[in-house]
Amino acid sequence: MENRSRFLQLIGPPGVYLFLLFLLPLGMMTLYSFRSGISGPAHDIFTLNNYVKFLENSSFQRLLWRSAGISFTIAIISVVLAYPLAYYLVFKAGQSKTALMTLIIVPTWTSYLLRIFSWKLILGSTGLLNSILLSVGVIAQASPILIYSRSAVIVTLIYVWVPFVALPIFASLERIDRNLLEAAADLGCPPWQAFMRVTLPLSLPGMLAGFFFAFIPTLGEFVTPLLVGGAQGSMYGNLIQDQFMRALNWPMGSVMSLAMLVEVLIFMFILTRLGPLTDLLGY
Amino acid sequence: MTDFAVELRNATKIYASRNRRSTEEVNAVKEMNLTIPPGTFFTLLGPSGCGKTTTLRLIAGFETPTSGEVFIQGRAMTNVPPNKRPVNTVFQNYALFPHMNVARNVAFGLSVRRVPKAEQERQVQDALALVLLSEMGRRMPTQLSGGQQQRVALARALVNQPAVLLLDEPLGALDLKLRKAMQLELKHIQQKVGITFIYVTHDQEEALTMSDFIAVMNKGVIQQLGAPADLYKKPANRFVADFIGESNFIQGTLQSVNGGRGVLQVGSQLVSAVAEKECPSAGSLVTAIIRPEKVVMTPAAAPGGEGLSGTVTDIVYIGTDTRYLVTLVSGQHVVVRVQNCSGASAQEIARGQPVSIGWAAEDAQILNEPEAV
Amino acid sequence: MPKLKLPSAGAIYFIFVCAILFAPIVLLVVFSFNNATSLVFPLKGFTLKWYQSLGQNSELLEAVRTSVLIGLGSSLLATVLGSMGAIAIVRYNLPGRGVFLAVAAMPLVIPYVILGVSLLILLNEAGIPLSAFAAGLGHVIISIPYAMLIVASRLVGFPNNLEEAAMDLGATYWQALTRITIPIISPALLASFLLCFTISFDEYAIASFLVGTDTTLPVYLFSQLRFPTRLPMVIALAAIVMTLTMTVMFFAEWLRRLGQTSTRK
Repeated sequence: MENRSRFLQLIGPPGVYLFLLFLLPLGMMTLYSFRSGISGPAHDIFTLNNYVKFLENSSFQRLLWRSAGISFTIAIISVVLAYPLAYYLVFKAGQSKTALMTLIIVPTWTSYLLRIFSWKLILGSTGLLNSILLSVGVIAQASPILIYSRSAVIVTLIYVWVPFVALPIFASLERIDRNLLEAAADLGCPPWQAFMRVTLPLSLPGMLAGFFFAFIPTLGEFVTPLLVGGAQGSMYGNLIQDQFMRALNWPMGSVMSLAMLVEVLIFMFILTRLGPLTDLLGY
Repeated sequence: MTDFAVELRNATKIYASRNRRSTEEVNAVKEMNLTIPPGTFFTLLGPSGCGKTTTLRLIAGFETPTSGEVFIQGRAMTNVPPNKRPVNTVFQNYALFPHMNVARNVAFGLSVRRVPKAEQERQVQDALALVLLSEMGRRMPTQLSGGQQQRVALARALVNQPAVLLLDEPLGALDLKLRKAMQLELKHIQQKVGITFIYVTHDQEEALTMSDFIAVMNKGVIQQLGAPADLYKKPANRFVADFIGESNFIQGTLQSVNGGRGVLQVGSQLVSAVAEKECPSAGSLVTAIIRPEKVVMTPAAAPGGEGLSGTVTDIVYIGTDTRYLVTLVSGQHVVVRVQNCSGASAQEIARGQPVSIGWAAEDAQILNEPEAV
Repeated sequence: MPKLKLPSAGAIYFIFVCAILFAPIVLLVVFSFNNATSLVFPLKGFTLKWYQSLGQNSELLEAVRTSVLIGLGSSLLATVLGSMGAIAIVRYNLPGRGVFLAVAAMPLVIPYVILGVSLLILLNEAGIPLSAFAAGLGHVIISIPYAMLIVASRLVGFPNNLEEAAMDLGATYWQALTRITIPIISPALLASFLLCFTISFDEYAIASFLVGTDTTLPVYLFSQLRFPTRLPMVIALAAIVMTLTMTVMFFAEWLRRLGQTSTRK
């Protein structure tokens, strides 16, 4: 039928592009995980060596889980910090709420790299914060406060994510029917309880979405650790990047990437299953 | 010999209906044979899901029949795409192009065919005049009311002088008064322009008002085709009787059939009705249909007379008429409509009053389908 | 009866967050005019020399040129492909739609490091050299979901039978697309183009794997972070880039909002 052929013509080009440059590379990466080298005679050997090495090396596993933990922390704290922001805008800001929400988003329009760079300058040992504290006399000598540590990575990423996380929370709070809150008040519910029993549950989908948007991409984060993480702040993504760019052990890197991919898919699966659950809680 | 405007031969349309869980097959149109005479106002009438819109889309070319053929003005059009058919459609949601003003909307079909600009303008003006929107050429669709948008859609279709104009429930979104005004206007335009109109609606009153012919459809099959009066007076089956106008269905045992008349036994009483050749045999359980306004109701006479006995259980006053709900001795219900003429105080019938129901034999009809037991 | 307007806790929190979010941007701009080579207070005098020196830095200019080129290219391709996908998923409900939508949306949730390394592998196998062009190819992948989302949002605001109406009046499907659909979604097309450009222009993670010996602006900036003497110049550059991106995005967002107030009957 004509409809079918038109539909295929429309999804053809994007479909082909996505297949060639998204799905196929992932497939090749899977293939590479079974090799012992990327060129020459080692190229075509099928081996499970890398898998074995990966699974044996407990430090890899630990880093994987630690990174997940870091991502989790970042996402949770972002949601917690973003929630009051969104709440204030939706319930207290009146007409200007959309404009103010956009205001929060504006910084995200600038380059991520530049903003982190800027924070480095502010927090670094020759940076602004130190110079202020030195001149005021709070500290005796410059120290790289909060720079080059795991906490630096966490704080920086929270800083980056809060505006993004605020958006879905804002959207789901906005959608709450004000009549419900009026009904709660009418039935004798004090404001705090009304929040806990009506607003919060109904905004759960937005919170979940915000968490999701912060958590999943952060699992693979490696740029921020490079900039502000120092030795202690490495995340799993750095491990992968290292394998590909420095150690040039692509097969190993592929195994690691696959491990992360599996991790991402598992978390996505869990989170999408939680989705229907929150709908239930909301009612 | 003039060709029919539209002819469908054994047209069947089955399509897959996809929802989240499964894909099921829907047989929307079942082996339909339909001929539509040129220059008529032809209506496809039926409830939602009966296949009338699908039939329309088969004629328009938006759907291809799973089997069967479509002819327009005698030419085979089964596989011809919609843009090549001499057919135009007025959609239910008007589908006006939001980024063009009224004049450019109306001119669209002409501009696709590369009609010269000056000629386009002239034809657009004529079309707008026909639908009484001459001054609205420069307005944007969002600036118009629902009724005006609908007329623009009509002009946009008519300006192309199609052989057949298809209208898919175009008046559905309008309020009652506007709808009634538009019904008459559409009828006038059709008569003036002389084009075959094929109209789809679920509103039987609308169909009766406007149409030269009506095809009543249910579940993909045409139940009856005919002029409005024929459909009203002589419905072919229970569905048509129920769908068009209001009907009473009286069940009883067919006692005898003689010279086109049948005698029906309801409870212990007898009534007569028209019985056609195809009616069930004597002794079977049948249904007779009688329109509420044809029922004659009299205060209870002496027992043994013609008619059915019952009691008035409900009275509703509707301004022009009064509706009485009568419960027969046998338990069946009959609706009686009596016009409220001034001075007719003879029939002061109250609730609870015993009455006798009867009718002229030629006003009732025994259905040709036997009742399922 | 006049009430004393104390800012509420929520307002204070909001202002605080805004201050923190904007602080680095503002500070960068301020220090870009500062006549000193390190970020210390007090400010040492107003100067434009850092901006002027940008013009002499050929490496930098080359990086900017590259970023602009692949930004334009990748956003164009992403917008075209994304629009086709958007029309397909909004107008049709046929088998394959769900799968396509899932695959097209996946790049949103796959970490960029995986996207980068997998493309690296592909290019290596295919014998394609690493370059800014390669980075551009990767940028299209991450931009397609955004393009699709923006165009699809615009499309759903309109009746879904406009193309059918056009064909009923004699247009071919292609004519219906070009005369009806594309004009209607044009604000979304532009918004998508601008957004995808910004995404590509600022993107570092994928580019870092794929540029090879070329440089894009983010890659260049990253490499400069180790040289303190070059700092002020980098700051000046940062100030310009930030202001530019904000302006572009502002415009894109305005267009997108414009598109949302559609004519739904």
